[in-house]
Amino acid sequence: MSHLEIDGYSHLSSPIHRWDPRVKIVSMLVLIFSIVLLKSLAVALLGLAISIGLLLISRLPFAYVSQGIKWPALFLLPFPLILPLTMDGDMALTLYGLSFSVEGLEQGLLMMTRGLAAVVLIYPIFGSSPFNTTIHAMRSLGLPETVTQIFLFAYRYLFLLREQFTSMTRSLSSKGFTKKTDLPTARVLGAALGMLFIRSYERSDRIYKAMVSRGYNGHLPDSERFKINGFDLVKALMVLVLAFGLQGLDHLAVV
Amino acid sequence: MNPAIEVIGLSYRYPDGTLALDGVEFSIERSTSVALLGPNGAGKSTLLLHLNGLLGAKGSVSILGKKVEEANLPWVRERVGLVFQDPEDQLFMPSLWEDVAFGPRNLGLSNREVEENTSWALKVVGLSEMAEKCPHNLSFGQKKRAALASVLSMKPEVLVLDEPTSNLDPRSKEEVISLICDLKKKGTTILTAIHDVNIVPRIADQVLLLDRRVVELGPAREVLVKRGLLKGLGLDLPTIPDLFCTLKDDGYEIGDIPFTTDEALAALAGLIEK
Amino acid sequence: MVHISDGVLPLEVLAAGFVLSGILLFLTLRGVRAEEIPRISLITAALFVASLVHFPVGPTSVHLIMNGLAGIILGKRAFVSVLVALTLQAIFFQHGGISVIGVNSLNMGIPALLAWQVFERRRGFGYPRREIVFGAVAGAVAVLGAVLLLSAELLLLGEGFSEIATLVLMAHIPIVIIEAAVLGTTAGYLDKVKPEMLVPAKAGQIRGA
Repeated sequence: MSHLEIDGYSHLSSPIHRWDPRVKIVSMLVLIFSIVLLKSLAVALLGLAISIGLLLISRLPFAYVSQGIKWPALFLLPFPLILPLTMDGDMALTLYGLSFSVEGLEQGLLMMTRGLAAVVLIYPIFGSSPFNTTIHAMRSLGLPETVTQIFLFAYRYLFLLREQFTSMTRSLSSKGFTKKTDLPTARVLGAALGMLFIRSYERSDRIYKAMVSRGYNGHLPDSERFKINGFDLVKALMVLVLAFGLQGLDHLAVV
Repeated sequence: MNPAIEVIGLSYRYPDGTLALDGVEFSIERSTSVALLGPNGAGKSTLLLHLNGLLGAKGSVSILGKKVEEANLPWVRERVGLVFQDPEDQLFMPSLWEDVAFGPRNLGLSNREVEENTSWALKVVGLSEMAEKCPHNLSFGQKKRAALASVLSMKPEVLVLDEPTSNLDPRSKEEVISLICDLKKKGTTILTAIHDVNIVPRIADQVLLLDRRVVELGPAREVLVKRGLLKGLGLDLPTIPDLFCTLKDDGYEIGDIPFTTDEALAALAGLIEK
Repeated sequence: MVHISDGVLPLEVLAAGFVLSGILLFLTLRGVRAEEIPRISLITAALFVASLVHFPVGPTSVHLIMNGLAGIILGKRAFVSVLVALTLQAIFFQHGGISVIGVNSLNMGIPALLAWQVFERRRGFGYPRREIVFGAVAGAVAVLGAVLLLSAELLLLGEGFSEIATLVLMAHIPIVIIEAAVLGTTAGYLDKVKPEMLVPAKAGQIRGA
């Protein structure tokens, strides 16, 4: 849960922190897409190395990143474990009567490597600016205004609602409630969630009044003014060269 | 000159049928600070929402001579700053700066003016250092002041405050009180709904007693000693006048009822000399 | 749980995910009124918090998904809510991923809309506990729909993936049951305490302040 603070290290200084958020988001997204579409395991491993390299440049603490990567790694693990057993292929190894497909293993590892590389890149992109700034950058990149507002307000109230819910569950525990795999647990959680949603709903009424009394009419005047300089473009060029380079290598490797 | 706030025959029923306001009538002159007192459920918050055109009902509300109606809403909202009780409702943007700039931006001010108003308002409430923070990470006292800043940045002529000191520790309470006093000195018209009667003599010239209708509107020092009236509404007298009213009832000779510590000391000294 | 990760799907599926999500976003957000915006935002934040809740399953536990709840509270506005909640999850928890935001939004958002439609059918029934029953069905439909879409996408990858697709499907059966039980209670609770939350007005627009 501590990871609600993705931008906890956005105050650090690094070439990635100093990058214009819009140029950073666009270039890094191109890199992510380039990596998740690679077909050669060797090139994908290179992609992972590049991602880790960018992470190192961003100076974000490794401990904080590795904690977040744990879960996606777990989701990706079934692919290299199961695909060798289920995929057909020319190269097969038979051990104890089970046949393992080398192609299946390669395919599984490829998926895992691509996935991990993409996850690692989330940190330099979103951990290097205040999340607030990221949302404004996405708006100036064309995110519709309504969606931008929903991002901003949802993000603002996440923390408050999480605290409210935590104190609700604490008061449940103090009354002796423990979670079990049964219907009463579902009922208690269902009611607690009902309460959370009612409070959120009622709060949204009050927030709307507070907004309207300060002149809100459904629109949010654009506020952030980003400025792009030469360094921003040089960094973008470097990342784009990496992105297209990987695709080029991939073509050579697969053919 | 037209009064700052003029309310005539205002009645409001909640959607569930409960009568919240019943023929409320009063008027407040410009540059006056009025405390709005009343028990829970007396309709204080409901009344405040009407002043900004957030609720519409039977009767009329006029601000600085203009009627609050659909066509005038932007005009009214520019002039009446409403600070809600729960600062979490008021501070809806993810950074303090953006929140304080929200109003001025909606007024269509130029970028420079928005910046000037925002940094001015943050300075007034003493939160300039916190501008980039997420409201969630401020202390409760800071949130209360931030909520005030988010309205001050629109430079309203009429300030409407709903429980600005509730749940504050003594130091934060003092900070808010001195802020209100400063604004009062500058000539802002202020209407403050408040439970803490001890603060009232310090921030308000007049007191408006509300219990779904206006029970009393008069100078603070006259209304706050009407024990029967206040007790009838379940309200207390401020501690110092309460003590001296009791002494007076017991036959001690007391001239004007003191309200501040200094006045109380002088009155006590007088009593002891006798 | 039900999110697909980065690095698994091919370009065609990723691209289709973004294009279709964009179209659905446009269609479901049309005519949005100012007062709906804070409401959608707060329900989205609550949805995000709800998805952090663990429910024990024997020795392990699963996260709630609650896309069905988005459907029965927000009507057609549930799609943008699911999309924003998923993006926040991808960024804050690395659940799912950036390249699959489109696909995941469809996987969870379409069943959320379906859950809304299922829940609306309750109006024809006079049974006093219909909110609980229809809430439970909506909860089951929302998760089942999401898992089926996910499995179908895995099947698209080729023959070797049918076992993984089956595994994903099986692993979610307990979640379908849990969500049905939780959502049934939540819907019953909302109906008792604040019924107007469950009545998306005409055409799925949520009620204003």
